[in-house]
Amino acid sequence: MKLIWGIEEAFSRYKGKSAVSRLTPPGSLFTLTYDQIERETRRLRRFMIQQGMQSGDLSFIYMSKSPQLVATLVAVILNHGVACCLNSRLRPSQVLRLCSNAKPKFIIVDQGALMNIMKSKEAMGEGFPVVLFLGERELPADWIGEKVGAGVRIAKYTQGGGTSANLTQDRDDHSDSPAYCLFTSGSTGIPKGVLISGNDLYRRAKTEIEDYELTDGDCLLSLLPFSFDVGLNQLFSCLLSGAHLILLNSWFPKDIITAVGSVGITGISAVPSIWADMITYPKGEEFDKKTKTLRYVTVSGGDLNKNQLLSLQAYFEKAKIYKTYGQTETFRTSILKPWDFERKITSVGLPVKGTQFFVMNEKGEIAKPNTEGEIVHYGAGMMLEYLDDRSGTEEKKRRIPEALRPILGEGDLIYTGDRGIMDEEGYLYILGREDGMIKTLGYRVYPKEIEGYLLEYEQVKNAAVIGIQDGHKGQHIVAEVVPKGELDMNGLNAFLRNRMASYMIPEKIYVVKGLPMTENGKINYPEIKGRYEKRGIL
Amino acid sequence: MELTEVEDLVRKIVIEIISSEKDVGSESVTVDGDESLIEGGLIDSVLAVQLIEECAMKFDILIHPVELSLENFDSINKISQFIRIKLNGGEA
Repeated sequence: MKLIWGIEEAFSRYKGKSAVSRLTPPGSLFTLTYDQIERETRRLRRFMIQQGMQSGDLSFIYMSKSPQLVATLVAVILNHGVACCLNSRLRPSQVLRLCSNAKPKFIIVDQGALMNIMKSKEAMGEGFPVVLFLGERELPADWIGEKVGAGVRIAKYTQGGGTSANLTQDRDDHSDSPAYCLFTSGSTGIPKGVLISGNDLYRRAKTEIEDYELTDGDCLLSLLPFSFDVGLNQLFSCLLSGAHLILLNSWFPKDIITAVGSVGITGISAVPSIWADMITYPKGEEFDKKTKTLRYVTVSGGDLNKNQLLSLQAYFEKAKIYKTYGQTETFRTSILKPWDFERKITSVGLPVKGTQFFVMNEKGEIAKPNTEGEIVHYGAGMMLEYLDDRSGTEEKKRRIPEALRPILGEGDLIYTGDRGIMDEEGYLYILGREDGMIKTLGYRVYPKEIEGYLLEYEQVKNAAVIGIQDGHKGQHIVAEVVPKGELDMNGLNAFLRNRMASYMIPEKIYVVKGLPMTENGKINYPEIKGRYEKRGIL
Repeated sequence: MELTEVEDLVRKIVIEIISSEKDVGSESVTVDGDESLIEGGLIDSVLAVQLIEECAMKFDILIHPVELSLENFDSINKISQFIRIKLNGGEA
């Protein structure tokens, strides 16, 4: 499998070069070199095989972000297993539920995660995955062995205690078998496991290396979890290009800027909420000196509005900005490159190399330019399938309909559920989620558009718009806004009335201290919606 | 307000956030004063915002963006020190 060859080649080529570091601000680094990661993955692979790991086995990895986590997920992949990092924010009850739904063979944990899940050990029954513990601490005697709770086995890994299990070369290619499982974020109901092949992971990393022009001289800042496609891909592009990945467990602007200055970061991949905080943060002394190494930043997993994007460019004057759009099921669908940034600022760009997309109208045809429809993705980046969910897979990933085959050929399409338009030059514009679309007085309105207007108002720091069902009228538009300091409500209302069609103006605007976020830093709309629906009020 | 009082209240806020996140009773959560909260992964970057908002509200202080960093917020002790200085009218 190309991914495995690529990683092994990187080990032998970059040897003593720093691969992954964990940064504890202001400047303390714990680093593993490519050599050290290789040695650690060998030890881990032997341990995993000794515990019964076979090709194709699913392993959950429930650990905090560290160089050890990187070695662990690479070891699972090199063993031809399927790795799945769980977000550290999942509650023990959610982890247990995922275990009983997805039935992984192993759950690999560090100290903190083990303590977390052991709190619910009564709930672990027969069929609970084997727990591989990678921590230092001695465990209570009654935790080790065959019977913890109702039949759970915990095995403890010791770095020195090498085993003799053979790392036999698996001659099968496994190219199109799953190598990784990503869970879609919980904001859309029950998380679904998305299976991705090793070959696709390889292609994704290679494309990113090309797009961001990565070399072994780069030093990238990792802020996003490996349970999120963008965070994961940054890791693989780093390993395959010989770059150095710096793990930082803080999203505070001050810590990020200090990190950039102290290790000479050249690229940052982040989500909009991180940048929204950054652009309002005072630059302070020696900002230009601290950030002089920064070549590029990316905006992924959502969009910023036009003003915020311009502020971001003004903030990091010398850095290039890349905007990307995609879903867990499609990885990245489109990219807006720096040279198009100003001209097409509100779009998410053109197809990523190897992928295609089009906008499909209600009749199932390819929509004309500048007309609205559902965004459909095909080509590279497509998931293999959902984990144990055939009907879900059939709904999301379908064969190219007969009528479109003369144009698109044979193959599959992913229906994104996102609404968008494409302009004459092929640039894509996102309108919003199909299920977030608000129908009011016969009009179709997208939260994103209204949020854009709200954010244009000086005193508004963040905003979320939802539709609440009303029997007669369709939906009521409700907005939550986070003020920067004081908020002049009359001023805001007048501002909106001057800019928006009357049917788009929110009926109620609530001032809140903060918006609920998903673990990936996106606005958690279902939670906001739930609040108003539960209260039954407007 | 004495430092120990500040510490007690900060500890209460921290434990409430962790226990509601981890879905366990607050009596089963123990956090050392020096234990790393954000860097150590007990509280993630998104929850950290909630922690800071709670502190600002309960102590009735205004926290500037420039004061948000691991240096000031990564442990109960650090947060308490920071808040004490704020309450005494200083710039942390």
